This record gives sequence, C-alpha cells and structure tokens, in this order.
Amino acid sequence: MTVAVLTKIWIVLVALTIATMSVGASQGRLLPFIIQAALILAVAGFKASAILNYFLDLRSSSRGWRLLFSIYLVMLGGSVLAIHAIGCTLAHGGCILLSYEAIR
Amino acid sequence: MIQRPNDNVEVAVAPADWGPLSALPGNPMMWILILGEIAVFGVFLVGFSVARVLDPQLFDNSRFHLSALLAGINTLVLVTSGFLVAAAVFQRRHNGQGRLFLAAGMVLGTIFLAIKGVEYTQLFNEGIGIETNTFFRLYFMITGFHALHIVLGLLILGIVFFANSVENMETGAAFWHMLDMIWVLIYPIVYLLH
Repeated sequence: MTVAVLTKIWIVLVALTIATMSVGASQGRLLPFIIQAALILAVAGFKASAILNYFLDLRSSSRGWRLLFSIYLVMLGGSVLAIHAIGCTLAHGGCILLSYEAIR
Repeated sequence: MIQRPNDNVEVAVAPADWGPLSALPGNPMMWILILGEIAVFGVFLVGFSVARVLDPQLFDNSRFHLSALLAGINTLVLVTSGFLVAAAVFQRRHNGQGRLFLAAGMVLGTIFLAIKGVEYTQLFNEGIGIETNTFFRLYFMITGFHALHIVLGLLILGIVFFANSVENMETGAAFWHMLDMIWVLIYPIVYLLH
C-alpha cells in the first residue's frame, strides 16, 4: 500500500460520492424505483468496502475477516433493499419497475 | 526476555494471544468496540428501513426537510479525512511521524461536526426536533449517535497525535475508518432512499 494507491482510492470515493449526490438530487426522475435504490446501495457498499480494504488496510488481514465484512455489507444492503421492495409492493401492489413519480 | 529475581532462568514473554483479532491492524481491544459499533449501526439502519415501510408517507414527507446536499458534502469531508488519516498511518509505518496528515484529518473531522451543527440548526429553526415524529426520532438518534462517535474519534486521534507509536496510530485510525464507513452507509439510507 502506498500513498499513491490511497490517493487513487480517495479520488474514486469522491467521484462516486458526487455521482450519488447527483442521483439523489434527481429525486427519482432518472431510473425506476428499485433500480435506483439498488444502484445507490451498491455504490455505498462498494465505497464502504474500499474504505475497509484500503484505508483500514484489511487487505493485509486474514481472508476470514475480509469475508466477514463483505458478508456484513451484502446482508445490510440486501436487507435494506428487500425491505424497500416489500414495502413498495405492499403499498402499491407491485411497483418494482415503476418510477418514483408514478409511486407518488 | 525477563529475569526472575530468585533464579537465573530466562523466561520468554509471548505477546498476548487475541486469536483472530490479532490479524487486524491496531489494538484488538479497539476491534471489540468496533465490531460492536458496526453491529449496532447495522441494526439501526435496518430498523430505520422497517419503520419507513410502516409509514412511507410520513418518512417521504419528513425526508424533504433534510439537506441531502449538506449530507453529501459531509460525506466528501469524512472520506477525505479518512484518506488523510490512512496516509498518516502509512507515513508512520515508514519511519515518518504522520502528524501533519493526522492533524489535517482531525480538522476535517471538526468541519464534519460543524456542518452537522448547521444541518441540525436548520431543522431546529423550522421547529423540527427529536419529538416531531418517528422519522426525526430515528434520524436524530442515528446521526446524533454517529456525531457523538465522531467527537470520541477526535479525542482518540488527539491522544494518538501525541502518543504516535505505530500501534497507537493504527488503533486510532481503525476507529476513525469505522466511523467513515458507517457514515457512507447512513448517507444513502437516511438521506437518499425514498
């Protein structure tokens, strides 16, 4: 791990954050409900993973720890997405591919 | 190696065995705290999502009072702070002091708190508080708990600034990166998802 690698990771994190801010500012006009939610959560999970592996340097730790943290992130993101999808379906009777505006 | 006073037998002092925790950077005691915090924040975020499903209209209406822009800026601030703290640890591992990077990371941590203060003040000025509704109870609990951890993280980094052994730096940085990672998850779930 070098400062150059850390700098590259930081640039990626900043770029992804700005992209997420843009998607958030669109207020759901860009993509269907579930796709946008999945995209936002996947980007967040990727950023969290990058922070753990590079900033925290878990890459030099054991494979078991890396696996455990990956499972945590997938389970958290997956749970939140599933809860969203179930909630939307219950409220609107199947809105997986609807836009946010249609849901409102 | 230590020598017993009553005999001349040398006894090797082995480092404490923390099992799998020994494979993680920094002090294993800190990792017990970190793992607990990660679990708690995970439960908070899943609980927040469940509460939203139970009352989606309330959550959607309340969310519009939040500033996603300030939260996004705070994400940039905290990610940059994490980068600087990681650079400080790298420098310390390679015979530098790492204090400049660490201090810069702490300044950004303080800016994060200041922006959080602006965000809260805007809400208070609108007459919104922790008792307003379920959304804001959870919002203030999650973000406030995280902000309190940032204060604790700054204290830890402040101690590490003066006692900057490699292990201390790794320990303080591990706590700080945990807060960084948690915020990266709080931001989309609380501020962006409808």
